[in-house]
Amino acid sequence: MGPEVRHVFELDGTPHEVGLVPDGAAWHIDVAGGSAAVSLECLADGSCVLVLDGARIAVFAVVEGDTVHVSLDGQAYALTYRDPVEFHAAAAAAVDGPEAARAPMPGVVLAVRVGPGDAVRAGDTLAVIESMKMETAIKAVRAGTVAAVHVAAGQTFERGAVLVTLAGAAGAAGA
Amino acid sequence: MRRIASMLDTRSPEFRGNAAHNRALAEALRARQHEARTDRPARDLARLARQGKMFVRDRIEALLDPGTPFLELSTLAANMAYDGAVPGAGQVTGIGIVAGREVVVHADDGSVKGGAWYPLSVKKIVRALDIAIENRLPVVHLCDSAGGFLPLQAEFFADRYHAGRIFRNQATLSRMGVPQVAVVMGHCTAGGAYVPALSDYNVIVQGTGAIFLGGPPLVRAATGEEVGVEELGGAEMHTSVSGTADYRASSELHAIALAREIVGRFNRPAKATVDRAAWEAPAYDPAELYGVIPRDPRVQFDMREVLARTVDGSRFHEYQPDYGRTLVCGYARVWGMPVGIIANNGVLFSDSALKGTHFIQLCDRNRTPLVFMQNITGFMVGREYERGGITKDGAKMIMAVTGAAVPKVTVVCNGSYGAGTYGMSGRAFDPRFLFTWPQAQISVMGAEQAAGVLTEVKLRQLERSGQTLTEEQAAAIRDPVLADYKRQSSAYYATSELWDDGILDPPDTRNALGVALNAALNAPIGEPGYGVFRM
Repeated sequence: MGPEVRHVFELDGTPHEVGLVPDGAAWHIDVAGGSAAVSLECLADGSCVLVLDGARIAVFAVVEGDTVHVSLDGQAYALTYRDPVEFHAAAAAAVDGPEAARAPMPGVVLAVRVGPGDAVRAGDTLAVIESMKMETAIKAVRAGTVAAVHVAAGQTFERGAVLVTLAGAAGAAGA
Repeated sequence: MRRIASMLDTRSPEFRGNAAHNRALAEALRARQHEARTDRPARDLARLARQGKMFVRDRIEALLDPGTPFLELSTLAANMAYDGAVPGAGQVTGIGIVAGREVVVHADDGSVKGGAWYPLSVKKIVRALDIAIENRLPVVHLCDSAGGFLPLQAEFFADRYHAGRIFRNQATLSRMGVPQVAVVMGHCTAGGAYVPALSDYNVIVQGTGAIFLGGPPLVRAATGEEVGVEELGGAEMHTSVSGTADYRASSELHAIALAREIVGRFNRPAKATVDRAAWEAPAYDPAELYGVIPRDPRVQFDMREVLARTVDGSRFHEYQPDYGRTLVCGYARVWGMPVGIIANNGVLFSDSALKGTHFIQLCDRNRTPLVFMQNITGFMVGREYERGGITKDGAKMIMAVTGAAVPKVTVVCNGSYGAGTYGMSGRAFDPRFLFTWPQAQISVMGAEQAAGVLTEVKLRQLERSGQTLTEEQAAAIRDPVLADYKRQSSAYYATSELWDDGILDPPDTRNALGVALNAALNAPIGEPGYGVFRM
């Protein structure tokens, strides 16, 4: 995570801004509604003791990528680390996502891989172009539905030309 | 720092096809490296055994600290020269750890033509010592050479970067206070005698080691004097009479132990300070690089997919993500060390060149080593782009690449063509290290384009004299050019000629960069300073 102290965690899908400052082997945690000193002592089997302002609480935790599954007082929680830049960018993109796939350089269309109405996932190839002896796949930067295809195979275009436009809210289909 | 989110479908037929293709290339590379390292004619190995000498690989094994990484350089030097008869150019060079110190190892391979120096052997030794100078690394020489290969002397003796440069570099290292130790395990004759003589320390093996300006046959021819090897330049004479050698060893292992003891008391100068962090493995498996690189070299790929499988935690802070998009610039870490990455995602436009220039200066100011990842067909051509100043913007990038004082490391991932090779820190721009991937192509322009240009020129000449070319005649001009061009633009040719420091199996790139950057930080980072940027 690096030296940053300002973080976003999602607790069962709800985001929380959290300040974490290292304090020896423990952490000082700042959340809306208060602050506390916390530390965690874990064994190999996943059983841990959470020390919260001196109070010792038995928990069970399993880490899976950026998510830690915590069992506490018989309740299961999923706590997911969200990179703050990505978190805030995703919030903004939901209203103002890039709509068009544009030509990164002038060239000629080799193939169009989608048609209007097609559902695409992020990373799907929309068209293949050739420029300066290199073939480049134009890929969807987000999931959505193809609104229009503006070029056909064999057609030349200038840099920045709109090749394909996408409709549908960014993030709606899950990138 | 954010992780790169890979857009790659590792189950797609495209990915699998690429993976199969690139794995086959990697296996071919490993097979050729293995051959260059170990395959020797039985009579040469028998001769070594008869002389009581160890194989060069065993000597290096005994020299290095056990379990530490050894970055071997230019393993396949000379693989396309001398009919393939001089594997590795008869030399082993690399960066390894001896008694806890990073050192350059330079070893003659006595199992190849008696360790004779061919023109490319000299180039490889000079390069190893250039690396020692640029990165202030001590050197251990393991000497066992029959001397220069005389039939080719015109190609390695007199010019600026010929054999004299070896000794000039040794003297330069000594002046810089960078120590060297030579271990004399065979004959060091003529020029070769200066390798131990110019080392701050040297060890000589009793019985097999000898140092002389002229060996017994030359002495007999010159003056008629009859003298044996031991008397003329053996261990006892040099360590007790001439003072040319420092320590006498009773065996090669004894000599190596002495060399390790000598290196073990070298000073440890402080490294250049950078903001180091804890190591983190990439979040995506580096082995997936096989599926990232398209099997058709003309197909563009996203360098972020390469970075995701190369840098710490796949974390990348991209600089100016929406400007000059064909050049990807940003910060990452390798083995915990900060790097500024400059990677090609297409042809260079004015905006990409300006972005690269700006980013190089940023990294130079904030003392961040630069890593260039090349896949470049060149700069954009055409009226609009010339009017927009594409040439002067490329010149700015070259000015910045040349002036940057921070260490630079270059990886030729795929294409490396024309001025793109230069702007992206090609060999001429003194990157501390330059590595190549197996499928890379390096040339002034693409093979098809060059063959086309040459055929066109011929056609015009004939037209002027009223003749025309039939399709067969055109093919007769084009095809040999194409074949030559393809051969000479391959990664194997580049590494044969020492245009690089070796071909990497792509998943090893991360570790090679780690060793290279760690080595580079042994030299203090100079102050930024540039020439005039044409605005």
